[in-house]
Amino acid sequence: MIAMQTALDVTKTWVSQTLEHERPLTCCRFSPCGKFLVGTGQDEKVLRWDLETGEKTSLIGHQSWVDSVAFQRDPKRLFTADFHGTICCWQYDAAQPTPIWSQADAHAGWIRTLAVSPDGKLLSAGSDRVIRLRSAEQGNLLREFSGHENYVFSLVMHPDGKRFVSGDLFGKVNEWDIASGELLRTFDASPLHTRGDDFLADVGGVRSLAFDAEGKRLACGGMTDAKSNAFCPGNPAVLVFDVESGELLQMLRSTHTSDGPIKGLAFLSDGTLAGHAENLNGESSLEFWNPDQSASIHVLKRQSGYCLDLHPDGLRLAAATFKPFGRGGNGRHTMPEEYTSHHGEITIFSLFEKPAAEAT
Amino acid sequence: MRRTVNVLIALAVVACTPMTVLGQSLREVIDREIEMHAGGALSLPCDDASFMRRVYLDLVGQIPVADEVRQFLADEDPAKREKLVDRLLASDDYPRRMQEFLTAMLLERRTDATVPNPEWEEYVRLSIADNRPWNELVAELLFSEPREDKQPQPPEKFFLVSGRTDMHQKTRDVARLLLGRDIMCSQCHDHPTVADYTQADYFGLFTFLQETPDKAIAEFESVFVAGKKTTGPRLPGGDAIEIPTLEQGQEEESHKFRPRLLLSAALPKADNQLFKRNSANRFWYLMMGRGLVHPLDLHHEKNPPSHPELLDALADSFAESGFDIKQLLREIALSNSYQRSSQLPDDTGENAVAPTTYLASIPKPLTPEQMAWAVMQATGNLPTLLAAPAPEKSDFTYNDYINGRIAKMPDNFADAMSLFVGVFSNAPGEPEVEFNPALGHSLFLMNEPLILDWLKPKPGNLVERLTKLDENERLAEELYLNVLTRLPTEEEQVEVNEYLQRFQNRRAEALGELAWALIASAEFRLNH
Amino acid sequence: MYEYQCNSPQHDWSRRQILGGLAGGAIGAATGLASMFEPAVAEEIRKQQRQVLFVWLDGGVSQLETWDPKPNTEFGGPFRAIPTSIPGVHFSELVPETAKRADKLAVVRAMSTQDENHSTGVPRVQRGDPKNRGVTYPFLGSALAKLRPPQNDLPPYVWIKPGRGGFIWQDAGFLGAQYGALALGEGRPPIHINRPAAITDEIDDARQQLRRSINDRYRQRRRSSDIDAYESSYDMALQLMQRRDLFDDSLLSPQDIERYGTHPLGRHLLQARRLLEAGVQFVKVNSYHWDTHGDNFNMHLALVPQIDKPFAAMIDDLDERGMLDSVLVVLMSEFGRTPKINSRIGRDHWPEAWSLVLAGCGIKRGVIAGKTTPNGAWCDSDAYDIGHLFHTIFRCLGIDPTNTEYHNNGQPLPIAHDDCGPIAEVMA
Repeated sequence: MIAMQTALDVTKTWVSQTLEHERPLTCCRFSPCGKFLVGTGQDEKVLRWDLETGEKTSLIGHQSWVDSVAFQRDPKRLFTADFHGTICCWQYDAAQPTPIWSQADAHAGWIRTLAVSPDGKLLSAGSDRVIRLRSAEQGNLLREFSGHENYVFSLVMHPDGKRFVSGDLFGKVNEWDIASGELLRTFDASPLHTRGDDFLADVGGVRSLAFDAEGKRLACGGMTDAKSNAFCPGNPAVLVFDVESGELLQMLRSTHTSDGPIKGLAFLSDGTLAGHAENLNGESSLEFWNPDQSASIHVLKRQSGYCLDLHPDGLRLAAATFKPFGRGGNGRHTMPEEYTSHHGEITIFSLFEKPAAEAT
Repeated sequence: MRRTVNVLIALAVVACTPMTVLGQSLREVIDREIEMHAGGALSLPCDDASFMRRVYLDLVGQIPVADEVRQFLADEDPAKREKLVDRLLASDDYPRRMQEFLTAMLLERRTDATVPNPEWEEYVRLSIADNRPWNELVAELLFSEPREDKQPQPPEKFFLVSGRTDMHQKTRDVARLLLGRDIMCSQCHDHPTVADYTQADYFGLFTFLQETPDKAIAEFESVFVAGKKTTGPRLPGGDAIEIPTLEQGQEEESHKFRPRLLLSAALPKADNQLFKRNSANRFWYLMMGRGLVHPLDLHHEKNPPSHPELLDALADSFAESGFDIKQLLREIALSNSYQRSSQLPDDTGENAVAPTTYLASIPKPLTPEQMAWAVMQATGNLPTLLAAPAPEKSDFTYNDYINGRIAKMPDNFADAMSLFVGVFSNAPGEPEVEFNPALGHSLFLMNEPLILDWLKPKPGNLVERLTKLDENERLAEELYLNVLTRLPTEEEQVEVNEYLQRFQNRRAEALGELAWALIASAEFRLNH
Repeated sequence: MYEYQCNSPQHDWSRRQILGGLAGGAIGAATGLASMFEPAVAEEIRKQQRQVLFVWLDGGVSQLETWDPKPNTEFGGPFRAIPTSIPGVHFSELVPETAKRADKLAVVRAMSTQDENHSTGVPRVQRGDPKNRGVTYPFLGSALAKLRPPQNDLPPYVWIKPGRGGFIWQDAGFLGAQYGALALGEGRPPIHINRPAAITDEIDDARQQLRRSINDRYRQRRRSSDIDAYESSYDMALQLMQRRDLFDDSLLSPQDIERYGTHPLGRHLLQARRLLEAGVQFVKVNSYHWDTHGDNFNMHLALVPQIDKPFAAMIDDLDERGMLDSVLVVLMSEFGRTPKINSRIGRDHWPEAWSLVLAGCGIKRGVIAGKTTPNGAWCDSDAYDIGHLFHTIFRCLGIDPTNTEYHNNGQPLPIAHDDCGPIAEVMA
């Protein structure tokens, strides 16, 4: 269906597929085989789409919103975690998957992020500040990584498979040795955290993390300079660190004005970085950067997006987004029977020139 | 030298154009109307000391120093009150006082940084000093062409202050302040019971306040009655102004038909009854403590003036004089009605006299600015404070000071004034009309270190001068003349004497306390 | 002081004023603002010491994340519902401490109000939305200062708030500035509460005596209302200066500091308890920035515990001291938050169906008044407007809004919306 020999060119990006749901979608991941996409959002369902047939299957097992998803290549496992602290493990290519195992109270409160190590172990973290390592087979706890002083929003494995980083609300990005549990060092992404004098809460945090393919650069997404803890408006930003030296190389800004954090973040195979922000009033954007330059090289105005994932083919990018449905904003403006939730969409972008046959 | 010349010119102007109504002077009309509707005994004329304090506060926003009081009391010239009024109207303090009054009335403590306060204040002060007609000033407030460099002119501050960039607030405030009508409700529907306030009037004015001709039409619909209506720029009760439909390229024409520009020509005019009456009513209130129509912004059929003929006479002669503010204030100040005692006639119960009758002079609360001037003057610290150089840009703010973020007491006039205004003023947008004594006012007078500091002996100030007087009788006189603009009674002499006896070991402090008690009294706080 | 906004149907007051003026000489001056209601009623009210704690979460706390959770529904959000001490009633998991004390509270889940904007909603709610009468109505604290003149000389209406303090006369509306709020910025008293050391008690007494005797002489043959008002502002100031201990943090127990918490709401509610114990009639505690249009769930996760813990401590303390019978507690915002979740994962303003909490004086314990539809979006029972709340509050405090009215220069004005009545389900 898609010409695999096609050259990556983000300036030619086009929307090749959309998948919809009746609630906003906040998380998406392609399966390692590239056949499926799993999306989750503001309900208890884990949604699996077969990308070729478009078939949508609901995986039932959670009691709250699911905002973190991770895949294991072999065996074909899917891990999902929810806001009540429950982790479920599924065989993702089953006709109608049911949990292989599920672990209630895997964390106290929200689980906000999952990652799978190359040797098949599951990392999880969230509001309780602790990072836990579990066996993928049964979910039994193997190790804890303590040191964060606030919510952990993001976790990502280093391509070398031996270490991982975790980002928290205060803007600390800790690098850990997975085998020893040792905290190796901390990257300072504190510009992504704001606590004004009159704030009632900390705002911002390291909402997304990504390593480039070679593991030389680490990108940390979020927003700077939050103006309040109510609207939580800030300036979307990505901090790019040199992994070896720990030095901050660049602060990337979006070209289109948005007021929310960059939660979707992905490096492409050529080192281009993609980031998706959110915005309260009006459109937000998907932006592409050369991480050596602060300004983006290509911008697509889109609805707010909360997650990005790169397809194993390296040429498609999925975004979990907000899709307005009916009037929003203050007050009712509608009859009760017409008052329903906004919707969600998984937008799949193809990162190359649209083939002539596909053009209209 | 120059000042003398100005005084002569001012006097000449005053002498040339006496305000009259059908051959009677305006002041005679005032007295006739008040007396005719009195319905009871009138208060006695006030004594010279009361008159002096009152007319000083009203015309120059300040109290006199003791020597002036002594001189005035001793003066046997039967025309001395008239001469005093003319002297005050010719002084440099009159334009300053009017600037303070008009700023508080027109801006209602709303703020803006685009036009710096000093520029606005100078604009108003100079306009008053030149005795420019009130309608001219109002025309400039309503529209002033921005300067070449796009910098706003000082009068533009009227619309630049916080809150008034909103078109509805703009409409409301123009109606309230310049036409005496609070027509806010008419935004959504005709006034249900006040037939004079219609939605069409509201939108007529709303349209008139627009910046460009293409906006010179407003469509509106009552929340009560279905059906859309439209109106062009229109004064309440008047006819809509025709604005031609302009094409592109007709920039010059388009410039001429800017609605707000047209409003500034149409509103402040002698044939505009609402403007004329509201203006007269507000200057009457300034002198008399209560509007003939009160509240000041509720002119309508069902809230008629207490003295309708008088309001007409004031409005008409004000217009005929070419909206001469100084003349109007002078006529009021010279009327018997203005010069009545604030003590009620002997045989009436204290509450039986309605203020609407003006049988007795109505006590007015000192404005924040009057309070500042009067306290500094009474304590004899004014010369030092005025002499102290004010920093180019002061970091002093009332809020920082009373929240303890600034430890240093104000040491110059400007900072001291801003402290008083902070303590005694109302919130932005709230007119300062009624007497609203608050806990904060009294705590401030009791415990503010600055006030207590002013009551310590310092070179030339009141308490220092008092410490040099050995004789308690002279001392009591000096104290009362300086603070309350009058001589003490015998009972008060005794009180001063006893207090000083009781605290003879700490005489300087005791003198400060005696002065404090006078400043903290209702007699000081009110212009009676 | 006069601020006339929408002058709607009952605007015929000016006619009454004029008629009154013609008939009786000067009703306005004769009755003045001093006599607000029948003397016998006034006397009855004065006998009962009743106080109010009014906690205001400015911006609008979410009903779904507090008192009316709808887990696993379209708009329910990610949080759990937990059982409370009322069998069968659940609150959000974000208010575990208050949930344990639900049997002492009344929760109204069917508030339905008119205003979806803060700028108009906040004053409209706090002034009781009495239909517009052509005058600006007082905020609740000022209204009570007028309707229930306190039996002590402490400021009748103290407002504890973040940021600056000062004297907030605008709260008094047409009643006049002396009924405004004394605002304690960060709970601190005004700096002028501190008398300079050089002035001893003896000297202060002496100078105040001088001031009073000057006023007595000035009073002769003059209207007394101005002078009385000025004198009372001094009496109140002196009384407040006597109670500086109320603001001395060194007198607080470490246990109390722990129980209430060290964040602003914790500190401010603890300060409020001290003022209530001292006899201040009306204490309002404000917290700002609840207007979570962005990141609603993270913000509620961080914010709601800041009210849950100290509010629970306050209920315990009032109960333990026997004060729940005489102190009316109100915990509310200007509206709730939209069920619908916006693009910043926030919730917007929702006056349509929201909740508030009442407790104490005159309030039934352990009741839930009204309910919302299964999706939480609409009232599914009799809905209550602000007028109902004000009728409820006034009645709890022993004031009958059907026979009590304000007089503004002779113009009679209802104290609460005359189309509404009290919320019967919560009345003890």
